Amino acid sequence: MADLPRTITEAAQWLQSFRITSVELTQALLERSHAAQDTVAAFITINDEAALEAARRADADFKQGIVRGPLQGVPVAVKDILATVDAPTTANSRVLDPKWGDRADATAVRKLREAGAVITGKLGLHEFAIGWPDPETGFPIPKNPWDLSRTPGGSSSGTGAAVAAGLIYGGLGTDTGGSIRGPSAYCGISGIKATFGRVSKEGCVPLGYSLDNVGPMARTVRDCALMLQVLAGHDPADPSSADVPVPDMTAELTGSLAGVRVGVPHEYFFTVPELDTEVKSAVLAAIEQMRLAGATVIEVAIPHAAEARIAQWVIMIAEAYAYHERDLQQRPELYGQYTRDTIQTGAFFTAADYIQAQRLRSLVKSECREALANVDVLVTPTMVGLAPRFDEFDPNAMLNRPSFTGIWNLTGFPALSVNCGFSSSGLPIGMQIIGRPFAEPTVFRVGDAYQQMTDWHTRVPELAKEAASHE
Amino acid sequence: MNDAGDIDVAATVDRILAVAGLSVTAERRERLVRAYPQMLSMVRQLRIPELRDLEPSVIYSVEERS
Repeated sequence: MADLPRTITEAAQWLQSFRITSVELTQALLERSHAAQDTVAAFITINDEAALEAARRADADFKQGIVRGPLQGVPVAVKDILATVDAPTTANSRVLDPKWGDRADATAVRKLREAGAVITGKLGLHEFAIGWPDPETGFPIPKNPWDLSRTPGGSSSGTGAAVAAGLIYGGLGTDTGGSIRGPSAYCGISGIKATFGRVSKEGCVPLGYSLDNVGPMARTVRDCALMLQVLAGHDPADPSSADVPVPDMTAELTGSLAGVRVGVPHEYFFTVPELDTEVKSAVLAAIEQMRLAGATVIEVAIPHAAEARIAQWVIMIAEAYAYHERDLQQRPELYGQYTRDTIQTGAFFTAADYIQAQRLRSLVKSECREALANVDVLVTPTMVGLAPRFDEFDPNAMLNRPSFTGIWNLTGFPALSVNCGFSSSGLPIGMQIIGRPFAEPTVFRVGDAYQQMTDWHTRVPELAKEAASHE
Repeated sequence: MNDAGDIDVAATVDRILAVAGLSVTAERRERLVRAYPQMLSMVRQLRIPELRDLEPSVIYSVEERS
């Protein structure tokens, strides 16, 4: 089947007009997923039987005129850190007790199923959502479909790779310091870390309790909005779930930037020496394009952005260490090397270090609220550089490297990554759009308007084009 | 937080590992000994004057569910 829809939005139109059935669509994507396991290796589990059963139910509903929404019948997949009733959950680790996953779907997964989505499997990730892949653990290591010698980013590596390679239309990732936005940037797709508490974390193995977010990754901003519409909402089973109304996430997708005020914090986000020159140029060009399309660009400042990176790291590692303390004491050999080494450093932070980080968190939240006081969104690069090669990884560099993403976990503000160009070597570049708390519709408005005037998001890796041509 | 130059880094790392009940390889211990001054330097950057009157973002409300 050479001709398939390219996005959730398109798939919904095809399905609802009976141009294609969910079974046909799901079978095609399952075949692609299996065929790509030796190269992209996005999945830990591909669940053909359950997926086709869900597809048959979706088709039966369509025939009876039952339409639950745009996700009905659309193949998606889930980062293997979220519980699913029909597949094991591993967190990409030999450490996680299999009994942990012997339970109901995570709330976010349940919501996807209730919306009629077809879940094709569980996607690879960095072990426990942190660290770096270690081949010794025996799990498949997802590769970047744009260049298989490079990482798709992490920790939602499988989700980013699967969407970019056309194996799924959307997927769930998690984000504690950039783990949705990093893979989205490196893989040339869209992904949002919504406001902290917007999406339930129930049924997700924790990394940093006060930083974790579950969120959607898809080819387009519109698709992300459609997914977030399903995922969002108060969940009494999640103590950090925000009890706020869920707006219409697509209400502001007008395509217009007229009157939009874009704040640009040049200091730090565009001035750190580690920032790749092509990344900087691409994001500045995107901002200029927005200005020409009617947006007003305003310089803003976040004075302690550099310290925010440290605070986020200390909080994340301390919280992760608390969760893993017993396993690190009793069976450290089961962890992958880099995950174990990273989380172990939590033993070296004191209680006072953690509280100081939380005090700095209060300061940075205040500065970010101030930065957004007179603008609608902020725009920064998503990542400091391009997708690194696997053989370039330096574990000691992680502590020193600047981060443009962790600050938005620290503050809890929504942050979306969209593709804004490609490097001279053909690697995707991501732009990050940040909004006020719970203002996801405005964040989506800016990202979608940018995508309506550019075509970066329509580009597909050669590997995916070749796979489609053989169908 | 003391400057790393005032302390015996290796002994401090060994003590922290022992108290935490963590066993590490010799190679990993060496990496930690090299990294520990960097960690100290990093957390020292969190101690800034602007935080003097700020409360941490972990204050619980009595209305919060336990």
